[in-house]
Amino acid sequence: MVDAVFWGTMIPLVFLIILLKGENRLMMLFFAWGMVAFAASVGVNDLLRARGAILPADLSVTWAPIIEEFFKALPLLYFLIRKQKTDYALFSFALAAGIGFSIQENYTYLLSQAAVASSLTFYVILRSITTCLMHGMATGLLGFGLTLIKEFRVLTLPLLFGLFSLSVILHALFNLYIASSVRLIGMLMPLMLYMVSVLVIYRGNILSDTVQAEASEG
Amino acid sequence: MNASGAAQSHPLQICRWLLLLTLAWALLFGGLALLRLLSLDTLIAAADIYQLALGFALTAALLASLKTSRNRSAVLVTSLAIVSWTLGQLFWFSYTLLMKSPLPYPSVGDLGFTGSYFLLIGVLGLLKKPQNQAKESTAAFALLLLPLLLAVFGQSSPGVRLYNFVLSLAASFTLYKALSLRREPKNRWLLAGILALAASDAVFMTSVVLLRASRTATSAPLYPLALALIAYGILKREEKTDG
Repeated sequence: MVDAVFWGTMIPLVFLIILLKGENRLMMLFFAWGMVAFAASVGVNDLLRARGAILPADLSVTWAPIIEEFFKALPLLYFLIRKQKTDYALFSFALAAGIGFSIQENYTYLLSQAAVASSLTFYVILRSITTCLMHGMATGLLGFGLTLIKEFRVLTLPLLFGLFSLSVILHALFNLYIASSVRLIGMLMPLMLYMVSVLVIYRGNILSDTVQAEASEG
Repeated sequence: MNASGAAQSHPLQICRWLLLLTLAWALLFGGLALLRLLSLDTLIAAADIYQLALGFALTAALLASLKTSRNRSAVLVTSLAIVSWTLGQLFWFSYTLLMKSPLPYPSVGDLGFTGSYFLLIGVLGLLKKPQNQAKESTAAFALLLLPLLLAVFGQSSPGVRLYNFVLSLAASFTLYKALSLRREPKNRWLLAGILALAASDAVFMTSVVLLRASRTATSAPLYPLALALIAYGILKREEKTDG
């Protein structure tokens, strides 16, 4: 069933992507990649489970965040070789991959809960403002880091790894809380992170102001 | 007002007070631990809560300074480095509390601690290079001897040995980049913070392998000092640049 939903979403998306041009196409490609990343992550997580390498209960706070963040962030490496600047912030492309991932994950949980949950609409809205945002924001962090790397030509790998670690730890913390008695903290975490990021990145206008300040200093 | 007569920004003042408070806390912690006035478990729990509160307070102060900062990216990435360390600590703290079992070492939580070094390397790359910059010092890599010695003289699992090496490598490389700032007085607080962080991790690694009974008590008062110095240092250098 999950496979059917995947193909049922992906094939129409491919038709749309073919018709789109420039950065709109790129944005949709990142979104579609998020869905592919979900399928790949499920495959690797299942493999770990099947081999008995890790208990299913432990997976969500051990390997799963590392595997999922890795797959979601993979296409962002494209921006390291791309020379032209983008009109959309790199943060948005990363967010698109994260959101694509989480929508596909929503379908999976929705199908598994169909027989159990009393109100699927409430369930899926709740997931959308918690888990979906968390996936988007965790990958968005890496997109923001790439902007810094391209703008200031700082050492690429350390900063990328630092931000990757940060996105993994956020994801693992979310998984830990959401499956525990303090679920509410887990639910509020992505929303708070989203609001802080919007304030810092967009309202704070970080990059342009820094460039101006440094230019005037030099 | 500072020595040059310029008014200090609120976030800088907050970081200075937090640094002084942390120094007082470290002395109190040391005194209570030596005099055994409280059990080690109680002290460690109090230290965990202090570390978390301080980490988030320092992050908030740095984010608040972005509005007026002249080098916003460096300050922002410093706040990410501090929050990365704090989230690592939060994962550790939450896991032991919610799962009612100790968190294995190394774990996903340790990514937060290692990640903070990589983010600090990013910060050092974002800072404007001083004209009288000293050469990067390979002496920083002497820190790599520690995991080797611990592997030879201590008993630990391959996972612990590998992670100790990775953490030492991250700390050494950060020090290697940071030591080039040593000639400029405005960078000294930041450099002191990075040195204190590396020293705290050296104490922590040694404690994990050799002094298991003391657990995290040996490094508990040191980490907050390092974080407070880093946060104060990044804002202080900016004030001195302005002056």
